[in-house]
Amino acid sequence: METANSTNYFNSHTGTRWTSGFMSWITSTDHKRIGVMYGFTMFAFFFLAVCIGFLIKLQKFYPAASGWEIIPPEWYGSFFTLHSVIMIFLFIVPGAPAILGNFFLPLQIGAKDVAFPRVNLLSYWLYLFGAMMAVVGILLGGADTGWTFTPPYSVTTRTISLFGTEFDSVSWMLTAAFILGWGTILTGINFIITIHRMRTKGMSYFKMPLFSWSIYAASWIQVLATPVVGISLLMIVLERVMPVGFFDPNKGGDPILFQHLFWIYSHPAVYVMILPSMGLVSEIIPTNSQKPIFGYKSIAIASCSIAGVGYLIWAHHMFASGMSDIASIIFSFLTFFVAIPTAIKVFNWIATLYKASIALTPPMLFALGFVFNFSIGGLTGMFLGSLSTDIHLHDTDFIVAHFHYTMFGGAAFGIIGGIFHYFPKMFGKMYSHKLANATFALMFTGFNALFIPMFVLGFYGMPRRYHTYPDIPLFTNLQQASTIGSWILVTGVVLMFITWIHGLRKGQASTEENPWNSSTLEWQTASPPTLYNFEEDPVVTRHPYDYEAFRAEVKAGTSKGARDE
Amino acid sequence: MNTSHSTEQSFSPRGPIIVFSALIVLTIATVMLSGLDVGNTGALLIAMSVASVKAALVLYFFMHLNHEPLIFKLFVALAFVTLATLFILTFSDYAFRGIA
Amino acid sequence: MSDQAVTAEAFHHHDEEGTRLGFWLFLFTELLLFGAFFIVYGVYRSAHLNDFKIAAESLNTGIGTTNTIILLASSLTMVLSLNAMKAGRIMLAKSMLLITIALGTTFLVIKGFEWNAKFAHDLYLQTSGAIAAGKGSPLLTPGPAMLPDGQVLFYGLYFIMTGTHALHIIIGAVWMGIVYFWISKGSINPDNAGVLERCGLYWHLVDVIWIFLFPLYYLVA
Repeated sequence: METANSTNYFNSHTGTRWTSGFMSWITSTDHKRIGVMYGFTMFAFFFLAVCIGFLIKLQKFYPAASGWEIIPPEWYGSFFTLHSVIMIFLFIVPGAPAILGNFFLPLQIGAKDVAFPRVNLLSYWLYLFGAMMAVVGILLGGADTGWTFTPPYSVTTRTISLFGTEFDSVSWMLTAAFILGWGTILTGINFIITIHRMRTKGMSYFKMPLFSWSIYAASWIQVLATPVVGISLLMIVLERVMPVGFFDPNKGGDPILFQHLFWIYSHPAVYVMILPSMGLVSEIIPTNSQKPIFGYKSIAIASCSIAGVGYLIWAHHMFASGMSDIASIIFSFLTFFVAIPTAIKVFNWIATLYKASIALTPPMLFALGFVFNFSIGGLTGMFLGSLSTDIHLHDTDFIVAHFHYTMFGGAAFGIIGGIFHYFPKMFGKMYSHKLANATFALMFTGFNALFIPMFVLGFYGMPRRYHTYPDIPLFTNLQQASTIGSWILVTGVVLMFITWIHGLRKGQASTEENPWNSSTLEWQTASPPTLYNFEEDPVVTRHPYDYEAFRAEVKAGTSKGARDE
Repeated sequence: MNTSHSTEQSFSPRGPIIVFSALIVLTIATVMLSGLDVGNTGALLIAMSVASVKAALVLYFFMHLNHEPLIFKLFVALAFVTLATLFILTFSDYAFRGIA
Repeated sequence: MSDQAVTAEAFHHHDEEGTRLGFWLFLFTELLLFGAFFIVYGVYRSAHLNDFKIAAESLNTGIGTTNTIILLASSLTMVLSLNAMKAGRIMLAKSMLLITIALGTTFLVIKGFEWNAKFAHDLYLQTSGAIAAGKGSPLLTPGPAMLPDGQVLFYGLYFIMTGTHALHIIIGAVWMGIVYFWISKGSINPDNAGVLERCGLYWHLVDVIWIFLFPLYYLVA
């Protein structure tokens, strides 16, 4: 690194006897190094899953009846399972907390590290181990259960490895998911305690930046929901090895019970995915508007109430699965409550933009893209939360589109925007804004071109998880539009990696602390941050988004602002 | 017990033994009450109430929640409320299966 | 490049209360993990009430009560061990810890005999291979002697839930053994008893879970 004369987290580290090289990273307990390691690992898996998604969409370019075969029909299930397992369990659930939460939560609240640094490293190892297990398992046997592992199919399906031997890759992957779960639980515990115990002087709860608030809400979900799915996944393993018949209706079991247990976790888990991204957007928008975020407290409280309400609505995934009508009505009713805090956030972001001097930096573009995509994703969620429309739309491409609008257009855009936002702080270098803007243009166009046709397809009855479709112009045209969208999107993703790698290797080295002129605490440390984050423990006196006070501080020289201002 | 530095505090087994005696009495009581013919719901209700009291005793005295700051109690309450919510909402399905 | 390695402890002042709070969060995950089992139990009990009652009759209430009392006593000795440690009476703390381990082991031995008695009646879980081959327990392998579905579910849950609980007892006992070793070495002492305290919290939670398991399997028959 260029900044050799200062001690930053690249050339000094904690908790390991290795002084340099690979081992000093993989055994480091420094939250910044762990965050960076998560970043590299997760985006590698992300790219793998994007490639698989690309193949899945390519298969849909022509109906199979025309002889078009990119993926053999018998492998199609394994392909979308691999895509979803990697994207969900290895990227989007742990993504924002593990990469940006690890790196910036302690910085935002003025702490030296997380509460339990060694546990933090253990989380990373668990993640790495579980991730390898999942990928190896699926390569050895392929699992075609979908990421939901719904019985009875997940109990009865038998898989054959690439070498023709019988290999139980479903059990293997369930175990991997269980291990990954422990990684996220420990991260959640770490963050909750960090926030409760390690805020610097003056950093009261309502002076914390909103990203920290969103991480806090998400961490509670990780702690209190993940064990439930962990045990239900292990019950599937048990059923495969020692069948008692827990989820087998022929033996008095109830397959819907598994769906309950699964969604008890997996519905709140979608808020683990989206909340940190909402937090990142709440950082990016006021920074690039240079004014206080509208309704700070309501956004903080909305994060917590989304997490709370998120526990009450899981069975809206199960309206078509045969649970009692009364439960369906209760869960449909409760589902609408989650729209309230979510809408509060969207309104607050838009109100922040009102009469602001908006700088359309690359992270801001992604944040605005997030608001647009997420609004579509959230509103189509209302269709699915209503009982009668859900019966029509259930298990169609409409759901796939809705899910991707919230998770890719929403959560992933938030993470990517967050990385563009924090890149100069993390690495002390600036990427090319031209490349970054082109990345956004391609990803945003490609994403919408890919998934808007899927809404229509789903509405006309195209089932999800199908290898092919009837050869009629309505379907073929929409499928081809969608596939072409996927090409644009994949180009955007590749360009994103090029932008980052180019930024890391050839980016303009800059020790500028606060290139975006942001008022929150994490920008006051050096770029890249020093080993202990702050030279001396910072004392917080003002609101995190008080731009007037911030500008006065910059003028007085007590805070660091953007240098070209 | 709020700090681990208080070496001066003297050892007195009296408090824990009283709690333990209460737990034993409750255990014997619940075994004896299980012999009553109060129907399924009644038996379940009695057994679970006694168990909850016992669990509360262990949590409050043996696990020292009585000496912990408020935040510990709030956390424990949150965990149990979550668990109770999961039960109630799951049974909003099973209690009405085949009825509506 | 001026590389310097710094130990994490060098700049982390130890926050005992924060560590304990974090450990409580970990205990919640254990609680919810068993909570999921209890939901499964509740659902199948309500669906197969009679079968559950018939199967529960076969469990020995005397053994269950004995084990409950043993576990409660071990919780008592655990508390006393911590109190003794904080009062500076290390020998007493060590002997109380040993008694706790002994009681935990006794619990496991009794549990082992109980399981063994079930095995003797051909009640045990089998692998899918054994079932497919028609070998093993005639009461669980499909056939004329097969138990009703509800009873199979009951025994399945019984083995899995008490088994998971026993696994936690084993982990707790091993941990207490390590703690005992550390007390002997002096690294756990009256001024630094956090590990002993957390070990105790874990042990009490295992006890709390048993407090609920006991009536559900042995009493409400």
